[in-house]
Amino acid sequence: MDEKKKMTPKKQSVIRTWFQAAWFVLTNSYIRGYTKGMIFAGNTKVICFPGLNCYSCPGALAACPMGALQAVMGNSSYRVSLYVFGFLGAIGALFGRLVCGWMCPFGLFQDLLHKIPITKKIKNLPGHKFLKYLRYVILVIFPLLLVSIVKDLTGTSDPWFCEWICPSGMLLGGIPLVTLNAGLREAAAGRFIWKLAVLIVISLMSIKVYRPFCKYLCPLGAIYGFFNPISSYRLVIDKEKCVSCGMCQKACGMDIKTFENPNSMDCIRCGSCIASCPKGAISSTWGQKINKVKNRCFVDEDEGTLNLTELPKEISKKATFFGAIAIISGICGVCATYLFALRSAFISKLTIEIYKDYLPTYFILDVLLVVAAALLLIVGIYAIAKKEDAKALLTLPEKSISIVIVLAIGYLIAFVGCIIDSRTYGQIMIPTTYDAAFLLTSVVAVPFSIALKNSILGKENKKLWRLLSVLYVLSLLGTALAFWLLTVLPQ
Amino acid sequence: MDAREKRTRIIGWIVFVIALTMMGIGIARGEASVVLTKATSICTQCIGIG
Repeated sequence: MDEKKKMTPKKQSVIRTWFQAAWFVLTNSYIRGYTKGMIFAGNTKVICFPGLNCYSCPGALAACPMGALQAVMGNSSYRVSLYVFGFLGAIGALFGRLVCGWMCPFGLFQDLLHKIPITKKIKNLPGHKFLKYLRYVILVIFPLLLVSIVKDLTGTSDPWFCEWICPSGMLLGGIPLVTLNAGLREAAAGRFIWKLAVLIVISLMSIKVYRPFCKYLCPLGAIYGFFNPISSYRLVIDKEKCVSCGMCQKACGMDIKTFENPNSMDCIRCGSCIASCPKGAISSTWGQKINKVKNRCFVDEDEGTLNLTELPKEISKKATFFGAIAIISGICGVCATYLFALRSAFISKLTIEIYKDYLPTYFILDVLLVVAAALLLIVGIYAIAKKEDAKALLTLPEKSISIVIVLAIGYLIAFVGCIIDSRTYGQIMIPTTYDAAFLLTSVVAVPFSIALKNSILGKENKKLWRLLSVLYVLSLLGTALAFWLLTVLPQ
Repeated sequence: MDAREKRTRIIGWIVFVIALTMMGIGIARGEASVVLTKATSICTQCIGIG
């Protein structure tokens, strides 16, 4: 396999910035909140964001983990929040501080400010060696000790970190809501000015210093940092290739000697070190797995050369066919989501207006599935038209298939979300024909996508493949039949 | 894969399973509804109002 490096530090930075922006838009897409000066009140807010995203942001579709932690610990019924700590542990065990580098809106805000070319940039504040432990002090004092100890007469406590420090709440929630809502504007007083001042100071520091909040103040980053050494996503140094040149530390905004300590608790997994290493000595555990699959499936074991002769035609045919199937599935999913919500609203005699609030997340998931399927179809058509361009085809189908697999799971989660919603509003508990058909489509989509991936990568099991294809087509037909029955038969 | 890497992976997955278990217990205790109640109303402390 060609080992020539394709990723440069600049390209890596651009990709990461766009991913962060897309993540923020996806998870804060309640547009009505921005136009009406209100917040989303849907059931998805029982789930926490991975990053520091205030739940009082008008567009926020989920809850802030630090806010949620303090809400439960500050409640008179609980001393510690197993739910939120469990969530933080699960995310940390998978990603570590990858969340900080790729999924935190306030991290994105600091990154963008740091790009402003108006002053000489420095990585750290003076006293960095000791200041970097300040975030642990803030973690212990504000969201843990003060919330646990300082209680009012009813046994409840305020969210001390959110109330006195968190700049993300001010940026994402305070400023938009006070701007849009006249009542809140009148109530803004001394504490609002304090929090605004904290935000302004951190923002100004971010122009000169790289991510000062992440380095010195963020309790969420402090928690995730504990998981860096053991998370599923870790950095790996190839000792045979590494020459300890220090290019990784030079590229690292957090100023970490990656070649010595690749899984430092300060590392936000931005990937700059991987892109900057001249010897290709740094890789990630996930990157290694992806390369392993690629090498196993596309390298001729006898000759050790890349086998390109017969694969492209097969990939193109299958990609085209199953791209079409995935698009049909995506369209069914979109229709299903809306029809399900409308049916529930009709039965409960609630207005459709309320249910429209629940639709954005599920609709976005379904739209993304359709987009991913369309990409797969385009790849297939492109491959048929440009057969000689096989090398470009080798990576695109794999990426598209991975997206379809992830979104098939999201599709299933959306269905579960619909069920939770309907039960919250006291809907009929007995499954209907429609529910069964929708569930079958969603469940079969996951192994179907995996079988698709295996068949294209050369591990085809023909019997399983045929069985899953038949099941998938039947479930789509069943869903279509259920739609028709739903519309023509009385409820 | 060397022994140290294998040990790290096992520890990571054990932590993940424990975390999921904690989440389940927390949901059973009713913590999720506390989170939902807080998240679906404007947090005046978070936005510097009260």
